[in-house]
Amino acid sequence: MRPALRASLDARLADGDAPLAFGLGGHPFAVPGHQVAEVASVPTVVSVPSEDPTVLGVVLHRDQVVAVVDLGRRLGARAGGPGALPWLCLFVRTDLGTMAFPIDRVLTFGVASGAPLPDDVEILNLESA
Amino acid sequence: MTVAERIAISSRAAPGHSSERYVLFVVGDVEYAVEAATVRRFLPPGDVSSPADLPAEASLRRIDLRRCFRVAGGPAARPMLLVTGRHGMAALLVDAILSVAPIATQAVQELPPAFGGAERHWFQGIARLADRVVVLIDVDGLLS
Repeated sequence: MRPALRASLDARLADGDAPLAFGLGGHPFAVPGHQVAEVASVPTVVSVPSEDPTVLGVVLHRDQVVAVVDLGRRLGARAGGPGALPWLCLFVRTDLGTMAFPIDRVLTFGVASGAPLPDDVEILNLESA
Repeated sequence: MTVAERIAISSRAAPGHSSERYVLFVVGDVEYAVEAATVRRFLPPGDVSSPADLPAEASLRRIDLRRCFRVAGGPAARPMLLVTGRHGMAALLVDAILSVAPIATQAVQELPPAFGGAERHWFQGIARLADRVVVLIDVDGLLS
């Protein structure tokens, strides 16, 4: 991962911005806690057509229409898509509004005493997704 | 109940609410709606056995929404909506026509910014109807 981003996010960690680590396509990733809006199971997705094959559709979540994006495909971490519904989705606050990313599972949320994440965890900045 | 009866019942707008009437239809597993004011008529499946059966102006252009939206398969005989816009008239092939219903303007929101391709021209936005989501077609954008 990019050292500058890692250093920046490790500094945020030290300030108490607990990350959320998750598994996707067999790889560990993490996002800074301040970007995370929610993790929720999504039972239905409306497959709104898009020229971008990673934009899977929309979900009605907490009275808002939220775009669902295949993060696994964007990252090259998972080729086959998220599989059968329901999907466990990571809702992230981005520059384009809240977006939902199907993930495999949550690994951890928060690291005790501001300790850095293990080196094999790739930290993502999804604010500009 | 026939489609015409369902349309007659569901097209009664709720009083005191700002709304537009839309024709609701299905393509694939997604529900769409197009402003009723743009719809000239609809043709049930089987009414059109050849392009010659279409009104002359509509036979000029036929848009298969399954193909447009990259949805595979579908029924062999499908209904058509004849729509008009700034760019002329066209027949939209859909899977099924559901009803005509008022959609409150406050129920409509823009397409999320993640949708950045041609779909921004095809769709006016997304409407929330009770617990479901309907995609609003922009006839002018689709026909352009």
